[in-house]
Amino acid sequence: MQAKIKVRDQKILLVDDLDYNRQLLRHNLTALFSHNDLKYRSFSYFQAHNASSALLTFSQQSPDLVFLDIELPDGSGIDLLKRFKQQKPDCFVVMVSGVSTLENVKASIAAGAASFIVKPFSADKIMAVLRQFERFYDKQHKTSL
Amino acid sequence: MVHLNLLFAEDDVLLAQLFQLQAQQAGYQVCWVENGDAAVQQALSYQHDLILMDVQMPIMDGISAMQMLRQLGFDRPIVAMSAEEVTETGFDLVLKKPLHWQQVQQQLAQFEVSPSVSLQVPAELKEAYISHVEQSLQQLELLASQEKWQEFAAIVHQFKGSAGCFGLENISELAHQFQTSWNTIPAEQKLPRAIWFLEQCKACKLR
Repeated sequence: MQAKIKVRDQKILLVDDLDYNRQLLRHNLTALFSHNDLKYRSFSYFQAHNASSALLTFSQQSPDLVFLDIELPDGSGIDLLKRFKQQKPDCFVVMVSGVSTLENVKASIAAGAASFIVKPFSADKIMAVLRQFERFYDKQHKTSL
Repeated sequence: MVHLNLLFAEDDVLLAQLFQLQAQQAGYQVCWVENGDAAVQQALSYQHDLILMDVQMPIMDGISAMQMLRQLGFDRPIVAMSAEEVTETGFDLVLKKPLHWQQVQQQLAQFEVSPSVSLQVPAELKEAYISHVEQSLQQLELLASQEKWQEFAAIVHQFKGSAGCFGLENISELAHQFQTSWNTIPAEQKLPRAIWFLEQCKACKLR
């Protein structure tokens, strides 16, 4: 009996109040997914510019991977993270912040964040997160056929 | 030969200075931090190929720092430095203290420089962001004239987080400098500080 991995479109939700940041992150993700030796190739992207629209999109789409800005105009990203984890405990959430204070890192881990990226985005940071996501996703979805 | 870029976390200042001297003479780049807290924050920049982590440090010890980084998916080598036995999993190697540079160098030889992937910001997106910055600077002038400091600081904070992503590291650095003192300066110094920030930004080459 061989273990196989169920592969389907990965749903990625990008939450950032600045449209340019979301566009750039999406561009970076697409570039890295297509140019590097990562397994998953097929994605659907969803975007939200504030906490309330992120919550709505999250409920509707149930994303696999979320990049969540820690500071949003209408609320804290960490509070939003807690709501996401309540709705979908196995969702892989990456907190994104302009500063890496230990308080933010600790609070993010306590609330269930899988990873933490400090801006500016670099390929190395994003690749580390994507490799981690693949390992996590494989573990979650490994089934015996 | 390309040498590793090392993050050296050690609270013993003299030991750190000695290590930096020896490592830099041998061609390594070294960034020194004094505790586990700073090590976590610095490591998350992903600018270093390997972390050398003292186990006993103030504020946050090396084991807690390593565990926090591993929990966050940090996948680069972390080498413990300790006079005691280290049994926790998560370190790639344990170096016994006292450190002898020749031995350290031999051990470091087994690690490789992290493969670097470059990402280009699409030209049209960069141009759109620069236009956004220019408009924001006009808005900041207006906010400064009205002394609306909360809104002013919020836009500067956005610069700090975003400008570097689009290759405007100079704007990001100015925003960082602005923020470090903004909350502690008295009210009468807010306007001169804001004007300084705006003038510095205008002097930056955006295109």
